[in-house]
Amino acid sequence: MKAAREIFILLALSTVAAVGTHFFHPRAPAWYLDSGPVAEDEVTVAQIETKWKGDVLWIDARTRAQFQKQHVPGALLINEQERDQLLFENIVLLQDNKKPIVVYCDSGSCQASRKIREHLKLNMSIDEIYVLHNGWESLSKSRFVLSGK
Amino acid sequence: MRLFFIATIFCLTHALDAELALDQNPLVINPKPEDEIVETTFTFTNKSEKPLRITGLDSSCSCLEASMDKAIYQPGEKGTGRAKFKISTFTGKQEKALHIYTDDPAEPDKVLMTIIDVPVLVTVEPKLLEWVIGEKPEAKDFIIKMIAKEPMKITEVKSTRESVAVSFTEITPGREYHVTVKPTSTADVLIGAVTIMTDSKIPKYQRQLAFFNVVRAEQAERKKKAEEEASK
Repeated sequence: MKAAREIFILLALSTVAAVGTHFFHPRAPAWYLDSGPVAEDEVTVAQIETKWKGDVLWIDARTRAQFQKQHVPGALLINEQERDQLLFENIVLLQDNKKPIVVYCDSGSCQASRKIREHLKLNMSIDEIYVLHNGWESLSKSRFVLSGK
Repeated sequence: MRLFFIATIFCLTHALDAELALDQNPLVINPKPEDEIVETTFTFTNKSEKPLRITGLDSSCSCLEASMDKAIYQPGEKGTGRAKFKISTFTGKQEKALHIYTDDPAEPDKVLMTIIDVPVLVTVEPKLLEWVIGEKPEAKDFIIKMIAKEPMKITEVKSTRESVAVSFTEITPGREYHVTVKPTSTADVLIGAVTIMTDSKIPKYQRQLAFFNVVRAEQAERKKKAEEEASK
């Protein structure tokens, strides 16, 4: 009976500590993995379907090795590490492109897609260029990759 | 009561401030122009009262890799990490975060900021030449400066658009050049670039890309506002 009471006290103290951490800790961990709401410069896979019926120009901002392993068919590889070299290779395609552009990197937390978007927006005056919300994580199970469209 | 006492002691000792103290943060790396990969080391100390386990390493860029000399560091023990940066075509100052994950509940994700300052040997100003639709299609210039120790010459310039003529003038041999860009028309939106070839011995400095655009008036206005806000 005594042990049970002590266990109960310990559990109660742990709960108080956990609740305190959740509400007051400056770097409290998230309950689940989520990169948050869709930012102004982002689109989701569902929005790409409804707004443009999936007819966009994809830019893959991941590493060459990841791109070679799997990518959206037709996507251009333009990553941070080889940006200038890859722009040389893709400049003609980009300058004649009329479709909205969607840039993706690994996940919701990677910044590569945002950096590539900023560079292209600044230098090529492209209005319709977006970052894919949650990146490849949200894309890898979509019909764009699975059906190759 | 004994169980309560042991558990309380355990909780208190566990809550003691563990700390991975980095000797360099940020870690500054200064590669040479010709370097393709640069490696450096960083040091740190476990300033806590208990052993500290490194549970993982991650970086904000696939260009940056790191490793530690061991996994567990005893209280007061110094450790060494190694950072490897693949420079590829990067130039200028690059800031990349290296995450060191530990079992320290107070700071499970210690961030080591890495600043890689890759020498800029060629500067292009402005970064972009722009005309507004309907504007007189007058020639505009990029100013190219070779700021390396060794002089570097422009050997060729090419436009990615047939309707836009480009040429270059040598101002100071091996040091300064003007690249002139002239569209035949500004009636429509146009995006293009000039490829500037140099005689540099280092491959990544042999080609430069400079952009030109013909934009709608509202696009130019929007950009101007964004630039003004960014400079505030």
